[in-house]
Amino acid sequence: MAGNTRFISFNDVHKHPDDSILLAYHRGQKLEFRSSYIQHIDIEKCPRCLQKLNELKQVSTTLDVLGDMPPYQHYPELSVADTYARMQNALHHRIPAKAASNGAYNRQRPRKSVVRLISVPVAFVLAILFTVAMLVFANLSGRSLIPFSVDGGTSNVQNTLTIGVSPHPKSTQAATAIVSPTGTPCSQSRTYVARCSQAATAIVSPTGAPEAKGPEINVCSTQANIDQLRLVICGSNFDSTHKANLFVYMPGKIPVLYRNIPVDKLGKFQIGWKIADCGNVPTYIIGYEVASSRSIVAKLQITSFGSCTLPTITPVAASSRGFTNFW
Amino acid sequence: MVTDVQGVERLRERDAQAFRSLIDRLQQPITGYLHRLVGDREVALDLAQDTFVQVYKEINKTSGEFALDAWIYRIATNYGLRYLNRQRLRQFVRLDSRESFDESLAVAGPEDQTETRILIEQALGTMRPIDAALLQLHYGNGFTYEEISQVMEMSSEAVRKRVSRSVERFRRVYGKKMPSVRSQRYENSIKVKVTSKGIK
Repeated sequence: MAGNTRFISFNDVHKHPDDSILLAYHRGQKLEFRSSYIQHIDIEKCPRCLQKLNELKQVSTTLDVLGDMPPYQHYPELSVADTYARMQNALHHRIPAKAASNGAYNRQRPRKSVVRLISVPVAFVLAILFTVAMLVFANLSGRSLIPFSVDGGTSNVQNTLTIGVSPHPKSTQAATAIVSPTGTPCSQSRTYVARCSQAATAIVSPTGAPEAKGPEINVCSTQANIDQLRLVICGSNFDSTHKANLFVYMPGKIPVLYRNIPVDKLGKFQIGWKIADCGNVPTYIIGYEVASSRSIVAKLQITSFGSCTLPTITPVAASSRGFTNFW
Repeated sequence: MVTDVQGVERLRERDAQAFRSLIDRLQQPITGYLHRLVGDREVALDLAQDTFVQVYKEINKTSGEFALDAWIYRIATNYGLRYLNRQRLRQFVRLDSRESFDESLAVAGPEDQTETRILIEQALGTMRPIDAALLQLHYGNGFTYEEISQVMEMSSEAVRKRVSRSVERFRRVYGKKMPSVRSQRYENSIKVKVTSKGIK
């Protein structure tokens, strides 16, 4: 449908009206310079325009069928009361208009999308909240990867033993284990004292109640060992599939790492060494499982061994498995 | 379209009687328009109801004098176009085409006209929703270009050009839809009329 082409007619130059003007002219719509178009089409009788006009008339006649529908088609009256109720519900309660309706027009609409775009940001926010909640839960319930807080305190989820080995070799109470879950000197109310005739052992949970499940390390020197100044460290409840490492700290000396200590099928191990004098008695021992996802699994603080009285140390912040940076 | 200042003011004041009158007056034409536009009677009824609910919610946001009917038709058109666009998207995802026709559109009438109506609706169904809406407003509802410009928020000149383009698209699509004999008859009728009647 070429429009805006020029032709010469009646020794004058006229511009063909484009199709939209012809259609508007045919449909009786308001047009600027309508008289000039009438002049061009009806009086000058432009054949090209008239042919095009005829085509448009045919199409319009076809499309006019659309306007014939109302006499044949009648729709059920919308319930004014129902619609009005929906209006007010939608306005005051901001609920979906559909939900507010329970009348005859409460139809299932096929146009409702199953996945609404609005749900995407909501789901994103919920996912973030869920992740944060899971992290908080894991942090509160699981073991912390950092054994000590930055202000020098110890984590209360670690099994820390403070052990004082009795200096009275002849006593039947060969060893007394004083246990503190915080690693600080024991108070009266939170002291657990284990008495035995053979060895100084204590397996204590952070809450003060005996517990058999968590990995433990403790001093298991017998009286004979103590007489010979031999320190024996026992581990229990370790993972039998891993070997153990012991990180031994002695005041004023370079820490010693005992590597790859075999753990038996019952999860136990034992290692001992001779201490020449009180200066070699470790004050703090930390147990690790080799190649385990857990970092520190047990800690032991020794305050005295035989006649040796050891200074109380306060651990500082340490990174996971960072032996050199630990103290 | 008449600007009913008092009616609009009453609607803004949430006058229940004014809303009832509005629904009584416009329900049939709005539903008919939406029915022809979306091709589904039930959907059209829902959309018409949504349109009136939207009118109630939004009437206070309007200001000054304005053509109420045109505004309501604009809301109805937006609902209809939104529905059609979603339908198109679904059909695109399903890789099928919409050939179905709402039988309720083929109401009683001359057999030839019923066939024509089906073909028209099918042709409009393959066109862009906005083009189909323009043709429905002009040919189905008898709106002038001026009124359509109020509904569509376009200038009258833009409406004139868009209606013309839509008619041209319809002519092409409709020609393909028609059976070959019928199409030939249709094409011939144009030629015959041009040649026999000549210039009127």
